[in-house]
Amino acid sequence: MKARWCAWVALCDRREAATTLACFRIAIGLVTLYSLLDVGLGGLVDVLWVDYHSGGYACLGTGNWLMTLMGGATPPVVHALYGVALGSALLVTMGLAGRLSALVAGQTYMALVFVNGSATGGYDMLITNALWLLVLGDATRTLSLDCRLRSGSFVSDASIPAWPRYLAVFQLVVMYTTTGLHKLSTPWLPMGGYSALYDVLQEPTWRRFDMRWTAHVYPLTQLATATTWFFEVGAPLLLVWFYFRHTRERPGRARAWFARRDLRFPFVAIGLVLHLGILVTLNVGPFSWAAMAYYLCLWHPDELAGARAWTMRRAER
Amino acid sequence: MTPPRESRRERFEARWPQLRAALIAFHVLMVVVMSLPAPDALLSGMGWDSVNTQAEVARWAEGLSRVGAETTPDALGASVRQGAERYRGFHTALTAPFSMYSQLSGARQGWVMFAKPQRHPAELHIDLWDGTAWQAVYRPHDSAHDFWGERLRHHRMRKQLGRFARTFDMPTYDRLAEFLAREVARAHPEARRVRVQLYRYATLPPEAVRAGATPLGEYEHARRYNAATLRAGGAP
Repeated sequence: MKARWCAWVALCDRREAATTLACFRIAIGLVTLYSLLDVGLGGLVDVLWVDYHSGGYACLGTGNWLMTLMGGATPPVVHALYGVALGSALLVTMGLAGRLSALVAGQTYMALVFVNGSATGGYDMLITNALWLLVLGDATRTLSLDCRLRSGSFVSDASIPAWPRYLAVFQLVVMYTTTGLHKLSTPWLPMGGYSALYDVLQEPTWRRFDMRWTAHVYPLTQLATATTWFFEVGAPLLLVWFYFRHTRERPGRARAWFARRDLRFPFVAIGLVLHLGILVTLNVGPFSWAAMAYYLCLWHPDELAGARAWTMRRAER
Repeated sequence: MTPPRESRRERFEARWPQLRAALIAFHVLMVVVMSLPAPDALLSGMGWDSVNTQAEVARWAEGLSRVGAETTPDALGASVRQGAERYRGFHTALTAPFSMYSQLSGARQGWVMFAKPQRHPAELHIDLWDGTAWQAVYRPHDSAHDFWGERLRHHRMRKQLGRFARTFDMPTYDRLAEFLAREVARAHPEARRVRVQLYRYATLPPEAVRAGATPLGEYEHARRYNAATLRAGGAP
């Protein structure tokens, strides 16, 4: 037990370049901006987030601690929160004001979107989780205005703790696994004929356009249903792979098998197909963008630097 | 000679890696515990009275009976609800140490996404009466009747509308219906009456779609409003 705790402490003590977390910060900042602007430009701020007694359509109560503190879901409060959320999300994207901008963006975003629980989605939680990880991590160490103000350059080789990136990967895996484990209704299972995606694509709530054509490729939708379910419940294998890679010097057949393969590539390939499919066919907000932002954290900053160098070399040829 | 006394800061720095590891472990545990199925999702959130859930329970009862675990939809539904009630206490105790951190930090969990695909969707339909006939002003996915356009097509509004098919919330439905009816009355001066209702139908199986069938449904939860009254009324 003591050895395991020491290994955990050592894992939490690891440091790495700040590039991956900075890319994650920029991606999440953009997704947050998109999520907010989408509501604002659609003219829905007052409709969704203002209480019935002040002109909205739903009785929303007083909201979370911040909304309550400011006086409830009235137009002036909601507009103020919306403005601050938008501004702080922009600062997160640009990397200004360090952890404070992520904290303000997270708290104001939460106050707004969770005041109407009937109009929230999984992406809202992905966004608020990510913003909290950006509060915990030193995400403006590089590729940020903070870095520019601190060092005169937009980039820095300074190292930061690696655990916020590990937590982002863990969050991604938990999100996929638990959503897969919740899918115990018959359409997701062999006894229901794997009809789930066909059913979802017919539903007027989510589909972007007429999806009756999927009846003609029904076996493909069945295959996609089964693939989605196995991909989601199999997500913990990614953590096993990370563990085996971290302990690759130890003996064991399974460890050796995993060490010979990079499980991230098939994981990301299936994930990208899944999320791009969702983007094209279903209107579920920025869920796919938020989930794909987490994918960045699967890669160590040195790997991102290697990929960048490889791309530059290819471009020069 | 006595060694120099450690300052409080040095002591803290020496213990910080242990403390940080404990805090990160707390976060990891929170993510796992808070992502467990919530009993309320199995009770009120399931919409036990909805056609979709009743059909799903019937399919499970049939499947279990086929493999020898003889049961009926009513008995299975009651067992699941009893189980969820028993689980409630355990879940509450388990999540108690983490819920405040989860709520305040924004690290909320709860990833029920498309867990129970809706096979009995309900579309919102809005019509107006101009004194001679009912005219459609809103039908989903119909560019000819696209009242409020982008706003009703927005995914957050879709979520709200989709919930009426799953777990019908009468007060929210009534308020939204009146809200939209007022918008229609203001946008259409010719309107004398406005009608808001849900059109529910069963999703057709692929064979039926391939054969050219069209889903036929029924209207429910119809609400009718006098347009002049709506126009005269300000904010509720």
